Amino acid sequence: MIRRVCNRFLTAAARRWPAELRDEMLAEWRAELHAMPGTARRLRYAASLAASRPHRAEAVAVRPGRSFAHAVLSLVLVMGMAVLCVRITIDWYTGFSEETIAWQAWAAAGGLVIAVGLGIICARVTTGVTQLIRPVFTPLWICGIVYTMSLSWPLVEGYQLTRSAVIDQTCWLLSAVVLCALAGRIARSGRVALSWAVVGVAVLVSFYFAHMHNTLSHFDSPGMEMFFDGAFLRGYLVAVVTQWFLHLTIFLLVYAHSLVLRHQAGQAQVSLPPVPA
Amino acid sequence: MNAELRMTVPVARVLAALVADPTGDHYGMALMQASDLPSGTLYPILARLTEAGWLDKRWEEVDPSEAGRPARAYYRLTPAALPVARQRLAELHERTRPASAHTVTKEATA
Repeated sequence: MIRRVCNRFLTAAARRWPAELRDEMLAEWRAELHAMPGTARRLRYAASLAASRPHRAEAVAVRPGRSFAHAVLSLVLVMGMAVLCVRITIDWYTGFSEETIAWQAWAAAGGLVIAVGLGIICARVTTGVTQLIRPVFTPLWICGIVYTMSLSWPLVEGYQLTRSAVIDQTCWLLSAVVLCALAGRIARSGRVALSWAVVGVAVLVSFYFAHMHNTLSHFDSPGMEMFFDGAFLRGYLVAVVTQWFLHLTIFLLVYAHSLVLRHQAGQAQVSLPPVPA
Repeated sequence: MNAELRMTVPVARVLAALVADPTGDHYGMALMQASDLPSGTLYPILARLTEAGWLDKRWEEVDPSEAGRPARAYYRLTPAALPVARQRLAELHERTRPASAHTVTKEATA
């Protein structure tokens, strides 16, 4: 127990040291701790290091202007992506026919991949967001932009917002934010692959909630099976992948999670080898 | 070596401990005891002195699996730093001597 506490103190202390010195200092402290007699002295040794500041700060350039610019760029990118998704849907997926359904389905499937790629690219160019907004709140920031847009858009257009739309959008926001924050926490513990799996679940769950008052979430026939010789599953899948909100949700959650991962990578986690008794 | 090191009381204590045995290898715990400084103060000073070229840091040559303990890091004043450290400690000692004693010494030498 004491050893674990001391180890945590030393790890916390090492995190504040410049990255190039962390491993070396941690090894040195552990060696001293190992040779130190007495529990109280060990605790005092580790706690003193944990409470102190290193001789020089970690080489992180704090540039508030850059972080603010990245946050603004993030806002623009998310809003732009939302508008683009709606635009593409209007142009490509409002009408279906026997001749067009095949390329529409493939284009929509390709759109899912593009949404993932764009999410990763956007995270690369707006890394300063997590300097301004805590990583745990990053999904709320990113999804919150779309939530605000979706609720304010009817007011701008001059038609009344329905209660069902508010419920669906709110459930979408809550599920996406909570699950994406959970994914970030899982990634922090080193299980990055599992964290991406949680993001995948977050996409499905939040998309379901976004369509609670829609036939898609009831798994009813969307009428697309007529293009596939009555095959319900194929028709249903095409109906789902051609939904602009699915593409947008994938983009948002991949973007948010990539930002969190980049932030965590920047923090350069200190490894925790076991301390010999 | 950067001779323009800011000489604070904790730095002087660490240097005094190192100067007391200039050829010896000093490890963290011994320096803590000799300088009466907590670990959180000592290690940033050691790192600063090492980066400024005043200290050589080397790792104990021991096989941790054989010895049953991890290798320790040792510090030693560099040959170039030793005379500078002595001089700076002497200057600090001179400046911090009580005024009356300083005056008496001056009068005695006059």
